[in-house]
Amino acid sequence: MILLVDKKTNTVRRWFEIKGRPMGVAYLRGHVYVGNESRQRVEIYNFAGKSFKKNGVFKTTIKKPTDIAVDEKSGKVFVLDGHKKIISIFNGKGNILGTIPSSGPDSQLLANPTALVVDSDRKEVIVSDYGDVAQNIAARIQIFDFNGQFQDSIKDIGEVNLIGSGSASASASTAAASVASAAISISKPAMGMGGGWGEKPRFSRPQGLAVDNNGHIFLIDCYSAEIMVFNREDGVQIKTIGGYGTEPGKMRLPLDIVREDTSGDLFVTNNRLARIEIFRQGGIIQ
Amino acid sequence: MNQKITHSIIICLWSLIFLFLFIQSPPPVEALNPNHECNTCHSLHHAPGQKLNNWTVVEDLCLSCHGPAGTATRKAEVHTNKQNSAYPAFTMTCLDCHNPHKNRPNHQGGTNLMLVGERKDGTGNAKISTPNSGIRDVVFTSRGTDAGGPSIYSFADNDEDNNGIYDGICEVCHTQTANHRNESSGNHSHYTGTNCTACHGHTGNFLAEGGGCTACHGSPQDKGDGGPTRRAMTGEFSLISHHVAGGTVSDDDCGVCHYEAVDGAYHQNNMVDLRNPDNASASAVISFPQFSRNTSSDSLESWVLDVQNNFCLKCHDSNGATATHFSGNPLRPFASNDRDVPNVFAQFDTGNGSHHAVRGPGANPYCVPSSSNGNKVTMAPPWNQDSTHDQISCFDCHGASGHGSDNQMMLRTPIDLDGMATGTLSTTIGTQVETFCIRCHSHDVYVGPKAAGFADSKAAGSVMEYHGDAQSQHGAAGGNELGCMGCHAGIVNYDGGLPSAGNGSARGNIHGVTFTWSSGTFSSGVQTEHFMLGGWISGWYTFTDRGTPYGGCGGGDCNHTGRSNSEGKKYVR
Repeated sequence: MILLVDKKTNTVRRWFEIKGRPMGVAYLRGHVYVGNESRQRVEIYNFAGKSFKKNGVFKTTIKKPTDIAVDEKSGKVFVLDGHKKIISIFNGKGNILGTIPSSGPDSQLLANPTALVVDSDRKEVIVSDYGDVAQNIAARIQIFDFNGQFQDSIKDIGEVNLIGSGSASASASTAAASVASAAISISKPAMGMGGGWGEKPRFSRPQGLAVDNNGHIFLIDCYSAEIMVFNREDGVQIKTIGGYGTEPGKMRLPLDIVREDTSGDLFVTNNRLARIEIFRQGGIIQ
Repeated sequence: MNQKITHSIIICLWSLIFLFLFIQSPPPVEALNPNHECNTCHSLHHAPGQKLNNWTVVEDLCLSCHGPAGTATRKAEVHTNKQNSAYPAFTMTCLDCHNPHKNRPNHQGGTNLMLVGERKDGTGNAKISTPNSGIRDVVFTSRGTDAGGPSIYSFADNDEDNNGIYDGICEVCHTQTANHRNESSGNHSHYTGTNCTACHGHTGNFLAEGGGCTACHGSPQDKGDGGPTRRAMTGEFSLISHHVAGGTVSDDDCGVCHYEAVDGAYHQNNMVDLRNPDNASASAVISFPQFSRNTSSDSLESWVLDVQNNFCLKCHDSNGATATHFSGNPLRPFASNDRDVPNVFAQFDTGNGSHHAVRGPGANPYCVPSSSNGNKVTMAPPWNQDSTHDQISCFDCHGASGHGSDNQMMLRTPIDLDGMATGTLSTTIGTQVETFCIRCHSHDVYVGPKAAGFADSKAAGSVMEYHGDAQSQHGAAGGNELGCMGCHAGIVNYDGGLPSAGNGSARGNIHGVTFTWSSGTFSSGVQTEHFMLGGWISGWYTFTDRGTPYGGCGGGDCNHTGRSNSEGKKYVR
């Protein structure tokens, strides 16, 4: 089911059914793009839920259309394929233009991507990625340009210092430590809840993303139930919004986020609580 | 104190501390697979939110990967019951059934799959803390028949090993469900041989779903919580009369009428939820537990009127199902329709010359004691209770099932309409018609006292005395025996159209009709009443002077010349 929600009143104004399991959804120029996991494709509807007779379906099979984002300036549609772990780029009619990323080392690819957002001003595609424990890849945000070239990455911290500094290293799974060493350094990235002693935790389950036109990236961590705000330029986390709980303003397993440009309001899907959390002007970063 | 001694004491103290911690630490655990390494879930030094001994927090952690937006291949949801369930709401979360660390051995000597069961006692065997049955052993070593495995020791094996223990993962907790409890009572044959998860999927909160409407509703269904049992339905669409042409109903066809097919929240809510054909929104849904029409009462139930006016007549009108049609054509809402839906709404128009009182109370003075009929009671119970001309419903003539019926036109009684359409009349057909008509129109008045047996009585004083006895022109001896339909041409016209003069095979319309003889005909300008359409042979005309219903022939109300019709009896229609 696709729901049209009024931003001011947070009430459902309209809805229509989807035959299958919808995942990502995006809107551009009268077209509602829906990633249908059951049918392994992207479908195009109008606001009334009618499928366009002509070009109503992207011809390219997308086995797991996890998320969709659009670039309003170029009309391009970016579809995250969670199965192939790539982003396919289409024009508005569903003709494929290319894929992201093309190639590169693991640090420049996607391991377990979950969501994406398009920064039209910078012409960048920003992707949240769970990483891969087996491959020693930490959770991260991957940034590519529209041509698929890797630009940057914002990572979970990974390094943890227990007591001061030290050179000895030990396996993270054992409790014993050498008494000769005054410090323990854990070299394995913390796929779980990252963060250092006394340091603010980073993210471990990155999901939905949003951007503003001031170089800020808004990231949902669905486990810590927070909106984390980062500087695009240096990856520094400058703000945290929300948190775990059930009362208003708190969340459980938030999954996606939308930022409205004019008001700076943030809208977050609060999955376990079955509601949309609104942070009025939460997206205005001074 | 000597600095060296102090330093040694400190080292010894730290050694003792570490040694103590080492002795007290829990035994090492194994992760199931590389995706479940320790730091997949645990942070050595920091855990945002609440700690992992809060199972709600654990649930969110599990669903961060196994939930709808996660990266795990195996998706899951918590186990819960439906809204409107007869039982109190419950939720069983991940850790109620799963141990996230390793597969446990079970009391049968095997090792459970899918991390089912936690170590609860010194045996180390997989057990579950059930809501009402304490801590019980659980065995899950086979994915079952769907995965090519044996049914034994899979989801619910009905104590297949005859050890008196119901320890399947799906049955180990159940104490009140109709099916698959953790002891011998209840039904243990519910879809045996089929994996529970074929219908009760993990991602659907283990509520029955999937396979579409027709996959499940080809057989009786119940929720196991004391709610209504739904009969097997798909076969009803291949009975003698049925909605959906072709005799095979599809899931999309179900969604034309039933909101359960649109929104799963309405499924298994102990209600039948019908859609308004012209309004697709949930607010227009008509809900009731089980449909019934008490035909012994002249008072129409509220849900009967609701279904009639906002369901049946919203489709059987001039524009069909404008909001819920599947085929793209509102007049043919089901994909397999081979004809437009008849406009029954117009037929029941209270302005029609003849009509049954479905859209509102009637005005026919013969249906109540009046001066027009010598103050006789001409209606059968329950319609004879007072002097008001009651409104009736679709369901006083048509059966309560909108799917299909063994009777033609889904009527409550069998009538050979096809035989009547060919003009073949027989005592049997007439009797069938009479059986239908006298459900509401008094048998004593129109057929004869029952004491004489109505089939052949045509008792003196009854209408049929002159139209069906051996002595009359229309009696058996005359070979022209008539039933009610002989004069009251009430055969439903399939295409909803009106009969026309000169059409020997024209049919009347038992719902309602306005028909005026055209100029140049014998009955020019005469509007039909009482469903008497007459025929094209000259000499017949319908009466409009509201004489007694059983006036005599040959100068009475039903005057005719006696000339025969070259097409036999069709003219009487």
